[in-house]
Amino acid sequence: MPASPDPVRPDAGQGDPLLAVEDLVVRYDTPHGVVHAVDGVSLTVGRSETLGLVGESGCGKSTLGRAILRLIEPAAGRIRLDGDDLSGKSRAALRPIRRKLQMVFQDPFGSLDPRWTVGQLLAEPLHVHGIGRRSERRDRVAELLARVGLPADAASRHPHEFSGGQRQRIGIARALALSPALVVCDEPVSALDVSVQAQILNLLDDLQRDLGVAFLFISHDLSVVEHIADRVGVMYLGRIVETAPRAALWRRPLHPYTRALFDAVPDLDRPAERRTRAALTGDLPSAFAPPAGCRFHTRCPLAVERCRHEAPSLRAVGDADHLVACHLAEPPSKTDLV
Amino acid sequence: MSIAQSVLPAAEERPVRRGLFARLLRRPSAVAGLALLGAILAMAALADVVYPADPLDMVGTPFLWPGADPDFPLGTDMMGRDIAAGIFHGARVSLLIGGVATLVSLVIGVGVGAIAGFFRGRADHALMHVTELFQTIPPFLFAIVIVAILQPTMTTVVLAIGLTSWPSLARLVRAEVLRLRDGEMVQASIVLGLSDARIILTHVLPNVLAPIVVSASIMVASAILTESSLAFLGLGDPNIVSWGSMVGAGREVLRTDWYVATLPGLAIVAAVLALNLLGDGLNDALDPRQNRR
Repeated sequence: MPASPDPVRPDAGQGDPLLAVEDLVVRYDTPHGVVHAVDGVSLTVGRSETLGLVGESGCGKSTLGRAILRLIEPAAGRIRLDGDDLSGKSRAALRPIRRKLQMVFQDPFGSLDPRWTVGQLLAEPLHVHGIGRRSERRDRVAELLARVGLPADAASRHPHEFSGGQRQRIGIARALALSPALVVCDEPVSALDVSVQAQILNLLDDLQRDLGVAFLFISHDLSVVEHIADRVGVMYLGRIVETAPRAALWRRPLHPYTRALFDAVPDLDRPAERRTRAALTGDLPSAFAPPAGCRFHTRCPLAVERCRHEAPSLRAVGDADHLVACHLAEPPSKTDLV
Repeated sequence: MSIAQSVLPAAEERPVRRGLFARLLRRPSAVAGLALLGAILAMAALADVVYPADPLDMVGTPFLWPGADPDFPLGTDMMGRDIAAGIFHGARVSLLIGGVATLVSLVIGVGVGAIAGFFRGRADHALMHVTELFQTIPPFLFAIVIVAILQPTMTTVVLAIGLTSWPSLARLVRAEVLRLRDGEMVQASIVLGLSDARIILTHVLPNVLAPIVVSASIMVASAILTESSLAFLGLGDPNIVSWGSMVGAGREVLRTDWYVATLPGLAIVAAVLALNLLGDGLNDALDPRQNRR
């Protein structure tokens, strides 16, 4: 077993990953102490790939997404996008790189200026990046609206005239305006009705197939991630505890936290079985003073003495692209009994 | 696409800008304020037409009571100056000083507030300490000191009022900008690659316009009051007629000929009242909670 995990490796062999995050740390200084919202996270996203990032609220997944976009300044670590190192760059130097890296926000209304028309909102990124003439930009706006399934006359209306799902389509169209290689989606469907959620997820799927854009998809909802992700990372208290291809993770979750998350999903097919499983007890420990050793040991049904002292690092268990940070995880033949 | 179309509400224009005036006209207090302000503006605009002579000239017998001589409907003061002419020309001075001083204070206040709120950190600390420094000095005393040190002219009076009335506006703008700064609209703008100046000017400030407009109308009123107070104390420009200087001159004959001080005083009351009514009306009309239907 290699001592130092190398999470670049599970990138499905597509050469250099599009996004490579190494040992990213985000700290908040608050009057009550320092919060380690993200504590040494490494991950990669390949071209045209969707990496789903799941975890409870407060686990640092949104902070991680924003730190990658440098909306929050990381305290340490490196972020490389397509060969460019984003971590050391000034905000002005980042501006041209932003064309490749965009974001879709959770609240599609809060992120759209209520005083602007949809057409103006979609043309603005083109304008500030000096793309096209006025008429070309207007054509591009029409193309984007069609792309996300909105009528062409939407361009002359204001955001408040649209429903939540339509506003999220506008947000997606704006994120795509600059033809980015990677879009960070921060809970993009959490504020929407379930029926609308499916439409938006299908739209994202279509866009990925047609445009080859990669997504870092942040969500607390496992069923949403199952629908959209190629690979999934599970976060707990600022760290990634397990990462695997979607099918492998659903077939055989290795980390006890991942299994607890799956058990928490209501399942009509196995109501009796669910009751027999150990549900996760207790709250997320305070991020001001995270537990020593494995951060999950305070809630882990399997914790042993070693877990209280020694923090597990990510290691491949079984398949090379299935990484888990747990001392007790073992290859499939034995873990099936746990 | 047909689904999307059918879900869309019928085409309607956002009412914020176009409908502001119409909404203002639905409020009686705002209508009264607008009418009063319109009358004062008309007086200022027509001053040279109705009373082409210098209002400081002696034109009639001193102490003519209002109505005593049809040539001087509001009477004359102890120097035989036409009070009506003084009020017309004074309207011009009051509105000009009130407007320009508010403009000065808007530029400083909005600038300081927007920069402090948007960039936070060190810029915020430094600017807010300066603001607090200004707030520890009573603004009227500060204005007196500035005018007393410099010559009392129109320009120095405008500067004195403008330089002393911005701190509260700066705090208001800072608070509003801070609220928007952490919101997703600004975050989205940063991600899209907009420059800070562009974000502040095109997305942040237009969305804090409502409270700025409301406080600007009140600031004009208080600038008019401050100018009148300075003029009353003899710290106005001696070469121009202002309502405050007319009240100041009339106070010596208050016991015998009270109209000399009272009539320009009523003009001040009317102007301040008009602007406050308008400010209240704007406050209601710009309130987003009442616009959302």
